[in-house]
Amino acid sequence: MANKKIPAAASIDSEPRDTQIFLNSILENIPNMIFVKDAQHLRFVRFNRAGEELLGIPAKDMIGKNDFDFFPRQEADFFTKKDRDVLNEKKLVDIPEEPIHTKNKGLRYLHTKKIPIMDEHGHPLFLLGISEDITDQKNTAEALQTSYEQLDARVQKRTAELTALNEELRREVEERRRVEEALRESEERYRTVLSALNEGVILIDRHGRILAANPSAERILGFSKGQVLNATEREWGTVQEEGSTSLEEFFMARALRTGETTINAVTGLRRSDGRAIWLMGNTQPLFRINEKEPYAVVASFFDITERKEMEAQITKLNSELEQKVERRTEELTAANKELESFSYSVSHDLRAPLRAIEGFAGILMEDHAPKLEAEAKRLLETIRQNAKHMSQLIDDLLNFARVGRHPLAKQTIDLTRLVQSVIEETSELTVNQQVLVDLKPLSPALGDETLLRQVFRNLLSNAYKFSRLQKSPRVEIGCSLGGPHPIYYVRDNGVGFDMQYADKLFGVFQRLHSKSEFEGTGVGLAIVQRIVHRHGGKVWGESSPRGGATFYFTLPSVAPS
Amino acid sequence: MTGTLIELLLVEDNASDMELTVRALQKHHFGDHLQWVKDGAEALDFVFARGPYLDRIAAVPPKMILLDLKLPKVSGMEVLREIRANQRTHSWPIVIFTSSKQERDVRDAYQLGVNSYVVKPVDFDEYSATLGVIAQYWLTTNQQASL
Repeated sequence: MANKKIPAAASIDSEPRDTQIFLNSILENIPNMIFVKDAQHLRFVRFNRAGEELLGIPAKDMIGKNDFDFFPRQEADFFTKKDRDVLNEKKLVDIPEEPIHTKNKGLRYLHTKKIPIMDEHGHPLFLLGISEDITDQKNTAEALQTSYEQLDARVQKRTAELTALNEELRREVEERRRVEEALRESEERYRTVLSALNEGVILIDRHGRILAANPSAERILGFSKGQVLNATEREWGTVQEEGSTSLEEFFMARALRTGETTINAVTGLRRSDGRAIWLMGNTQPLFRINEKEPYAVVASFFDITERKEMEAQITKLNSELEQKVERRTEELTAANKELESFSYSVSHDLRAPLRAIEGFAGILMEDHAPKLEAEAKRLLETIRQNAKHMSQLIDDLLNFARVGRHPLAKQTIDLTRLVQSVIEETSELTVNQQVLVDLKPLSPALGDETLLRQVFRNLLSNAYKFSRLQKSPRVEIGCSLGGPHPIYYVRDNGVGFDMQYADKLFGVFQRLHSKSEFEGTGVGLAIVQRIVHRHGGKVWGESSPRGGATFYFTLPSVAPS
Repeated sequence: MTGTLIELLLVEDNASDMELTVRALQKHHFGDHLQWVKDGAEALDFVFARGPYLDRIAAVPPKMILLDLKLPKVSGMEVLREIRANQRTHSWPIVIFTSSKQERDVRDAYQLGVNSYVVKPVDFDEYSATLGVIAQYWLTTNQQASL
């Protein structure tokens, strides 16, 4: 291209030839579009090769034509206006970017500088234009811009994401911190509770090593502060009640082995200081998920040595007490035996002399009657009567004693029928009197039949005896209900008794009437009282001034079924 | 008295009771052929023909033994037991005649195989009448087993 023929320009013909060639060569080889328009008509007078290439129009076609011949009107107007500005103001105008439609390259962007070229008088002759195709630059810049914008958007998006993430992390950290704080507080609370507990609490691993222990555990197990950790439960042995070594498994060891929860297990153990103590405790094995063997055991326990010692003390006292009771029972049994042998003697030995007194007095009366005066016979008879009476006293006393010893065979008793049979039994006592016996229905009672029969026999005998002097003796047997227990009574219209001595009625050998009036030993009512008392009842007697006595007694009633 | 006929053996430690008994029996004409022994040991000697009673080995058994319970040396209950335990004497008629009304004594005596149990009355008239009935029954009415 450097060899191409440089078209001649009319106005610069005057330049020296070499210089002109040189300048033309520069002009043609500069990679920017360079054009020259005449100042008057703005027609192209010069157009270099870079211009031809850019616009796709050969320079020879350009020369003599103006912008309107090549470009859209709007573009041409813009170029023309700028040209005029430059020529009018006579100074360089820099147009950083202007669009231009080219024949082959489409729309391009130019950075154009337009410079006025004056004559020696300062009048504009030409307009020089230098245009640099900045389309690629512009595109690159735009691409850069787009890229930058995209990048920026991404950065912003990422930043937002990161900020959000950050916030989340911050929240998480905060949350974790709070949880940790709560955990720490909770742990501290538990630690405080554990420290305050009187119960010993330890945590042992599966080898029996103590991982944690509260102060009470240290105290109970006999460790000084802090020494308990890593001790193993093998450091103490189990002991038996009497202090000898036991083969029994320590309950924590058992929990480790079996994985079972223990509640209120009791074990004796020998501490490392040799002291034997007794513990009662619970164990709770701890398991990891999917593991069958516990990895640790929590054991809580308290020292029951004192209690155990107290129990032993109580057991000892109890056994002493039992021995005492046994001894006392033996003594009582012996006393009872003695009493029995006493009554045996009384019944046997005391009667023999009486029989002799009575018998020989009788023989004297019989065999020696002709030799005896009337007074002597009376005295002998008195001796015999007293002997017989004493025999009766002995019988009654023995009977009284027997009533006290007789074991109670309690059952429900139809008292009406029982009394009916007693009335029949004692009818011989009333053969010489017309006694009106009125038996009213009696409430059944719980008692010993033999003894209750004796009660009614004694009371009826008394009633007959003390009413026999009446014209029409009357005996009434009945019971009154309404109180907590039925009250049974035997009433007669006999001589009655002086209420002043009512408290003496039930004493043994106590009599309120002379023997000459009414025979008897004074044991009958004592026996009645003893029987009623043994049944848990009460007995009392009443007499009205007009005579007649009533004896009342209570018995436990039969619960209605 | 060796080998003589004894119809009634009276075992009684109390001399007064013995006298009353003998008098009562005599009153009812049963005083003959009576042997009195004072304690359980002597009673057993008589029954088993030992010591002073050696010659009684072939004698006719008494028709009745009137046995008190409370006796020196060997008790009436023990005498009863030994007589009943011996093949030769185990069916000899024995009547307990005692002051004891103790139910236990009555029960024990019958368990050991006594023929009758009679309580001594204090009243002499009763005492006498009672013995009359007993003697009448065992010495005359009752048919003894022959050996």
